[in-house]
This record gives sequence, structure tokens and C-alpha cells, in this order.
Amino acid sequence: MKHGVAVTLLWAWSIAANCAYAADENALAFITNQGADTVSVVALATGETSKTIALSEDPAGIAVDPRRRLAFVTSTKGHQLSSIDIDTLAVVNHVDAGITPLGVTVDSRSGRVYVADWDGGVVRVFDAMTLTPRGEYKTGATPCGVALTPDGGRLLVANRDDNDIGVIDTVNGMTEARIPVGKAPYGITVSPNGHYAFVANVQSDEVTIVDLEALQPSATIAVGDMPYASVFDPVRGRLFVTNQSDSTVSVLDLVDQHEIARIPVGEYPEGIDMQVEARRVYVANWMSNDLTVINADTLEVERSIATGDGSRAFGRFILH
Amino acid sequence: MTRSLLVFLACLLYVGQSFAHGPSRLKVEESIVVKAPAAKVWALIGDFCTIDKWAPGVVKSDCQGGNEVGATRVLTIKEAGGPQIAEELQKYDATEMTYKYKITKTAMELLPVTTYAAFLSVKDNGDGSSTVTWRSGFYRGHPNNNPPADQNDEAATKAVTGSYQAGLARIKELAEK
Repeated sequence: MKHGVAVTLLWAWSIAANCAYAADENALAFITNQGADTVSVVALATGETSKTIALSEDPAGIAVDPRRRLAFVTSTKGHQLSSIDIDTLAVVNHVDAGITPLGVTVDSRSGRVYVADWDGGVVRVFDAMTLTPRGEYKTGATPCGVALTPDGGRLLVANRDDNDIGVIDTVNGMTEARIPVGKAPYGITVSPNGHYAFVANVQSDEVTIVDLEALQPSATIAVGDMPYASVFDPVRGRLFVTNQSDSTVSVLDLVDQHEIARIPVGEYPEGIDMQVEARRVYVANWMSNDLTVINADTLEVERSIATGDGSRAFGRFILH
Repeated sequence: MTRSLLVFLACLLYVGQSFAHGPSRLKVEESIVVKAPAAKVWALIGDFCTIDKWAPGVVKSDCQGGNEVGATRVLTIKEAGGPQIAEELQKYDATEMTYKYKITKTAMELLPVTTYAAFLSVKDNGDGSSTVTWRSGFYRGHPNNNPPADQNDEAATKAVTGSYQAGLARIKELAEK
């Protein structure tokens, strides 16, 4: 397992070194503010809020499609999936997305948006440009976090109350496997080569590393109190994990499989994402209503950026 | 009546465990300006155990652990033998005049919440007055969709807000004496 992780990290590092991570000066963060029913669009080069966009009630999940220049937001109480035009920063479309749409991810190549319906027990599929419904996949209980493998061929979904993740074939909609993880899995991150998934387990205070080739859990790493979501740093082979209840971020060394640092951030940190080349990690804090900016190399907090009430930003919220 | 009793009993079982919850955590924040310096207010409210000295409705506080992280208090509400709420101290900072605690067992008929954690803080305003802030994150009492009216988001928010407003008003009254 350690050899496999090291190979993954070398591969990921080479990708990061050569990859066309777009110029960071135009990078934006789309932060869903659940309490304020808005999305804060933050220009990451300056830290200025470019716009605050009104959304349907209780926006939580976020995904960004750089190819179609659209951001997708789920509204858990408004029952909607909305799309935002990244250039005009206006809401251009919305659709009824079930009972409680929550986690969302988009496949830029195929143009499909996947939304987990927490109370509906399904993942709903939509066309990214038109938001036309394209079908649904049955999941386990209270699906929340979703993530795609890099080729778009598999969708992973955290079935929170079943304590497992589902691996769904996106071509035929069939569940290939249900892999047991820790207690109350929530956010899922997939490694850049698609070999591993990292699952935050809210009630067992640990991250499960899932081997997606063997379709089995391969290791767990203890983190802080009530972990929510994570982001993978391919340059150093680390995982950053938000711990909601103790207001910290755990930094995990994935080769040695242990926590190497715990960084105090704002209160009730939830969504997390990063700029790999600019070496910054961004954390949305639900209680303190701001973004904490962390230097991914020194692990120091650089600053906080005020956002809106109840910032969650659950998903990949950065347009690179 | 039977159905709501069953729901009530089912939710008592959920309370210490919080396996499931609605998707939206709720937030309440209330504050009050007290015409007294922060140090005086903190002397009144800064001890985790003796909340019965100031919180309306708390007739007894059975505690262990002082102000160390992990300390516990079991509050008896309204009258001797009345409903109880158990809480645990998670953070304590006497210099910053703030503490954080969570409910480990609620009385659903009084405070219909799950996974509740709160912060109580005092801040000096520099002019002889101070601001006391009480805020929390929690989920409603009923975990699944279509909760009954007494365990939905509104009921939870109303109960927490009411308790904070009453508590802060009493702090002001006592500290300004």
C-alpha cells in the first residue's frame, strides 16, 4: 500500500508540474453561504469579493466547470440546482433537483452534473449546459459527498447513514461496489490518478483511504473532531482535512499515513479547496463566516477573508 | 397523540448518539451590552459549573471537572426532579473570557436539538461596558425529512433563541446591580 501511494504521489507530482493549471491571477472562489442564501465570489489574487449572488434557499454544494464557464450550486431548502455564468456572475439557469440536493460535482468532458439528494436516496444527473435531467442512480442512505474519477467513468458517493461509499459506473448507472468506511462518511476526494479516494468520516474522527483498484478500504488516519471534507496536495503528497468541531485543519502525510500538523482556523470549518501552484489552501468557516487562507508549504495561516453567513462551500469551489 | 409520543421517545434515543440529522446545521447568535466591565461579567458567568447562579430556569447544576476541558454539568430545569440537560466543556480560555461546550443529552421537550455546541464570550467595549455573546450550531431534534412541528428547524431555533435572550437579559440584570 505504501509503495502504491508513493507511486501515486510521484505521478501526481509530475502531473502538477506539467499540468496547465491556469494562470492564478484570474482565480475565483465560489463560496456558498447557507445562512445568507448567497454565493460570495472572491478574487483570490486580491482577496476582494467580486460579487455576492443571491441564490435559492440554503445553498450548500458547489462545483465549477471551467470548460463551459459555469458554476453549479445546490440549494438544500430551495430544492434546486442552479448554474452561474462565471463571466457575468449571474444565475443563468435552475432546475428542481429533488428533495434535498446537497453534494454536487461536474464532469467537464461529458458535460454532466451529478447531484446527491440527501433525503431522496439517489444521485440525479443533469446536462451541464441546459440542466435537463438525464437520469438518476440509486444510492444508499442519506447520500452527501460526491466525487468523480479523473476519466469520469466512476462516481463515488458517500452514503452517510450506511457508513459506506458507493462506486457507480457512470455509463450504465450500476453500483459496482459498496465499500465500508468509517462512521458517517461525508466529503470525498479522489487522487489525480484515480487510484485512491479519501473519505472524511464525521463521527469516527478519521479519514479512510480507499483503494479504488481493489475496491477496498486500505488504511485509516485519525484526524480532529467531526471531519467534513478534504483536499489533496499533489506537490507534497498531503491531504488537508477540515475538523468542524475543534475548528482546525488536519494535515496528513499520505505516505506515512499520519497527521503531521493541526492548524487552527475559523470556527466550524467545512468546505476546503486549494490552488496547487499558488500554494494556498482555502477553508470556508460556517460559524465565523469567513475564509481562512493557509500557506500549503509553511502551513501558516496567511489571512482571513470575510464571506457571508454560514459559509459551507461543500465541493471543489475554485475556478483556477 | 400516540404517534407524537412514539416520535418523542424515538428522538430521546437519538439524543446521546446523533446518528442522523437533517442536512442543515442551524445557527443562533445573540448578544447584549452590559453596563459593567468585562471582568465583572466574567466573574459572574465564567465558571462552567455555576450556571445555576444566573441562567433562568436552571435550579441545579451537578458538575465535575471544574473548568478543565472535559468537565461536565447536568442541569435540572424548572424544579427539583425536573427535566435535565447534560453538557460537556470543550474549550476554556479565561484570558479571552470565552468557553465552548456541547450538549451530550438534551431534554427534547425543552430544547429539541441534536449535535449542539455553543460558545459563551465576554468582550470589553473599552468604555466601562462589555458585550456578552452566546452563539451555537445545532441540528433540529427530528433527524429525518418531514419533522413534526415541535421538532423542526423553527422549533429548535425558537427554543435556543429564547433561552439565550432570557439568559443574557438576566446576566445584564445581575451584572449591573
